[in-house]
Amino acid sequence: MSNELQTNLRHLENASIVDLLGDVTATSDAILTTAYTAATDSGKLIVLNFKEASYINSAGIAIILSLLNRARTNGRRVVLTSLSSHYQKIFHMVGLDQFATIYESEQAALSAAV
Amino acid sequence: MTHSKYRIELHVPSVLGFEKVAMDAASAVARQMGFEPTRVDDLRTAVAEACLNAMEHGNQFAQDSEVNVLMICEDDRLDVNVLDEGRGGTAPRITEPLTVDNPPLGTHGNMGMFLITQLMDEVEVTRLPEGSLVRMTIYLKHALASLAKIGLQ
Repeated sequence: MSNELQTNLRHLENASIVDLLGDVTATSDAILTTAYTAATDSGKLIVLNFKEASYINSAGIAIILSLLNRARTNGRRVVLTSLSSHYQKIFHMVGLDQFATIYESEQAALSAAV
Repeated sequence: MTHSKYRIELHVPSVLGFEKVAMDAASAVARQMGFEPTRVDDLRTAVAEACLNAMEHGNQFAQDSEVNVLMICEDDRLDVNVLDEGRGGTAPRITEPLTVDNPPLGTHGNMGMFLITQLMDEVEVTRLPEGSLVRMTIYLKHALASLAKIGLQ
């Protein structure tokens, strides 16, 4: 039933972009952790791109929060982009925007954060 | 178009992913009733979270268990009742938002009920002999919801 999450990692000059494709749910932990670990290898800013993530539930949000918490502990900089207005609202409700800045688009994130 | 007392009922298995069936059904009903897209999105998330809570906490993901979802369309509102089978022994909990000072614990934060209460106009959790019932209501007009919340409607 679920649209299992896939990730695509893109290394740009000043940032590593992790594209999230599919559902972000309880089953996304391993793939998100793997993608995040691969992105940290570059030592650059990490951008989580939600443009193709159409369904995000509370378990998925908890995984993202855990990942952002780990990034904070390790001094890694992570920002989020391209969330729908609904999920921007949800992320604000649960306080996730206190852990990472949310940008409207990948370009906005790269312009403002790099 | 009037909507008085149209009822739509679903039974979904306690398997992750099937909450999307209830979510899509509720979404279709809400659109049919004329809810704005932002409210339909709110309902989608609330119904999905209520079903996930029922599957996990109420039904313990038992293979033979189901979540009952009953949607009742009224002229001014949509009620969605989500009932589990009471196998977990714990009613759904409402949690506080996570903050920098209150970081997530592990990977399974319990924020579903919190989101439901934030997104719906009315939420009622009732412990019945057969299980826990989460009743969620959204009104077609926000003004009606505000009046209902302060007991004037």
